[in-house]
Amino acid sequence: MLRRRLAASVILALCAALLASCWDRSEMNELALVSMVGMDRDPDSGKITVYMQVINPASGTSAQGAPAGEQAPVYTYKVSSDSFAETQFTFYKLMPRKMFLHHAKAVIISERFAKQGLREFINFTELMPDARSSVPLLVAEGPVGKVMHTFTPLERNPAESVTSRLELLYEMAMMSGRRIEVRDVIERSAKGEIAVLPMIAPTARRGDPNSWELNAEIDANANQLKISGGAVIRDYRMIGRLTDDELVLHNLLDGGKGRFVRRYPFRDGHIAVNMKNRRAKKKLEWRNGKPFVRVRIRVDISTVGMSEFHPQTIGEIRELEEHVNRSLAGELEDFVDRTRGKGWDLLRIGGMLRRKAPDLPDPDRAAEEAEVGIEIESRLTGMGNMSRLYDETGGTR
Amino acid sequence: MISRTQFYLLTVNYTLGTTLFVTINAMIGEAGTDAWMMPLWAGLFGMIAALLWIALLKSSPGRSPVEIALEAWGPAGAIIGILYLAVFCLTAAWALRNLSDFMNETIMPNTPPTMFHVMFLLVAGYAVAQGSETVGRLNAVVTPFLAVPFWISLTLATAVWDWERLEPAFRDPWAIFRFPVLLGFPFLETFSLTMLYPKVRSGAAGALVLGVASAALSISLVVFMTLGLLGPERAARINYPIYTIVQEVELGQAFVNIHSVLTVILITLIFIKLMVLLYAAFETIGQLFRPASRWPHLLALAILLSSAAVAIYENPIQNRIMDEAYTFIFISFYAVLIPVLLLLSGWLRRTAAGRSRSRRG
Repeated sequence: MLRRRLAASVILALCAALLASCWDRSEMNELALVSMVGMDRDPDSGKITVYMQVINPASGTSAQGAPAGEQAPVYTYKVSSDSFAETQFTFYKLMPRKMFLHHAKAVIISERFAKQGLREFINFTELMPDARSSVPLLVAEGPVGKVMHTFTPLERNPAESVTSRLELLYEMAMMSGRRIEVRDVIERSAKGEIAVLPMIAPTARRGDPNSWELNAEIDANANQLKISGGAVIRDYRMIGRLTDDELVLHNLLDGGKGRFVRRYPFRDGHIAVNMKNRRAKKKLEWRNGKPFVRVRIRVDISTVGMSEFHPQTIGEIRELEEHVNRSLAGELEDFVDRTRGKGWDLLRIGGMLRRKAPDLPDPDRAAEEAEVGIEIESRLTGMGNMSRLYDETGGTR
Repeated sequence: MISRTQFYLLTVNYTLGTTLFVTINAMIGEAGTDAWMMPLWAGLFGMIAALLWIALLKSSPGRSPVEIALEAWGPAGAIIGILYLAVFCLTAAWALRNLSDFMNETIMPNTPPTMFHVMFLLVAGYAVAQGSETVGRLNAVVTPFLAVPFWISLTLATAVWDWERLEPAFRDPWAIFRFPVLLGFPFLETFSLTMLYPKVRSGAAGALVLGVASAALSISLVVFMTLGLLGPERAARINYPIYTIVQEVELGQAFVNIHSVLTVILITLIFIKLMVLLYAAFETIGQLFRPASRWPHLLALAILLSSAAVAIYENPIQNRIMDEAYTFIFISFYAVLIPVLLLLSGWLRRTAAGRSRSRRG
């Protein structure tokens, strides 16, 4: 009996060797870890160019320090072809390791490609089992090749640098949203709604610095990448742009929960107000048979950063809050009117009608006719490090 | 003999088995935001069918449907038995193929499908040869390791939850009637569990019905979460929505590959389904042919199943077409029509016997 059991366990143990996936094994040392993907399509010839930025495994901390021995943190491979499928495999003319896409942190597409439409690319990437769609999608201003061939200071891996900045821009400036990933473009386009993607551009160039030279350069503005502006995407196609200023307002309306600053005329000067979005709610109401979208936004304001004015009395606090309410609401109304005038339904009223009133015969028309009311409720909750500002010597306040 | 809890867990895991792979996107494609209601109706139907089988099994306690057929119809019953053997084999091969399709399409594109089939059959065959206790206990032991990580990984994904994706709601509650596949698969397929039914110590009937109900609730919840996490647009198009959900989960910078955990859970669920089907086929052979040896015919069964799994269809598109066109009729034939006929003949015989007895008396 014991011998039989022993034999059985040996056989089972041998079977385990077969389970170790001999066909699909992937050794860390045999993988090319793609960190950023770039794409462009020539509108005339239709030729697709794909860039793959691959992490250089040798550029760890050990390679730093010795200037002559420093290696590039990433390598960019480029391939052109008539279809995405062809580019996928022609990379191996150049790349000595198996492409590993799962850790890709960002996808960058050229503006002209975005204007031609991204549906083909999106179908291609969703079909690929090893590509995730939860990656930020950015639109490059100018040639995408330049973006893919630019090192970034401080954060040496450009993809990390980009994603980290997107996060900071969302939390600290609301100039980036939460819905900027490939999957968001898919979902919103499929629903007939608008998505806004961040835009990226290389900054002014001096020479063609390599990674080491860039790290030795003090001017961090030159020779790197800058994230600024928003690309408006509808039906998988870029149809316009938003400025940074408009981007903040858009993200506020879209329910972003970050901090931001607005500057308004106040009393006899100006005032810059730090705000944090607490809640943004859209509600559909009906007035005279027409849809009315009521947007209610609650923001917290803080005396931090408000170096021009510090309220002292209840009256002054209310004055400040009401001033902010009026100014922000006015700005948002202007923004909504302006973009709706261009035919951009950034508030996604069409989608809202399709969801809340699915029996409506022509939701798109109703969305165009819909009225929008914006209400802001600001509350002074944050406090800076002072209870009174330093006055001008001999000043009156 | 297995306990009532073990039988309940087997029913739940068996029903979830391949369902989580193959029907989620089809359901959402058919009913959109209201797809989560489909498994509830289908589950209700499955419970009614389970009551029918229970009525049949209770009419002749301690016997499996194959034995009941043999007893009731003699040689014609043997034909029914062989038919059931074919059904269990076919379903097992189907489950195996669903498994290798999933593995080949997601994380192991280069591994030959037969490798998966053979390895799973070896382990399942070993468990089945040990008898119903091993089957029941193995499943009971692995269940917590399946359920807990499964719901944890889905919960981790809820960071991207959006209620908007579930609107408009309650527009299409009767979509199930446009999509009758779901009435057949997976709930009528639980018929194979009736082969284990006589091995349950007591309370098998409640465990079976409750198991079907729990599975229906679980599937409904999974569909609901899939809708809220992926949205109907993507979920209807992606082959394995649950896998994609977990694939897109990111925990900070380090954990971006937790979908391998989900893969293990899904293939273990299929393994359980396979094990039950193999057990059903094995029992059927035992009851029909009374072999002298214990396991060599299991080896033959494994060879048959591994080749059937390769040959059953050429690609998952055919699987879908076959599913939509024939599954309901196919399953209803063996899981509804034959049990009804068996019940009827039993009832007729009993009334006839009762009448002759009363005439004699």
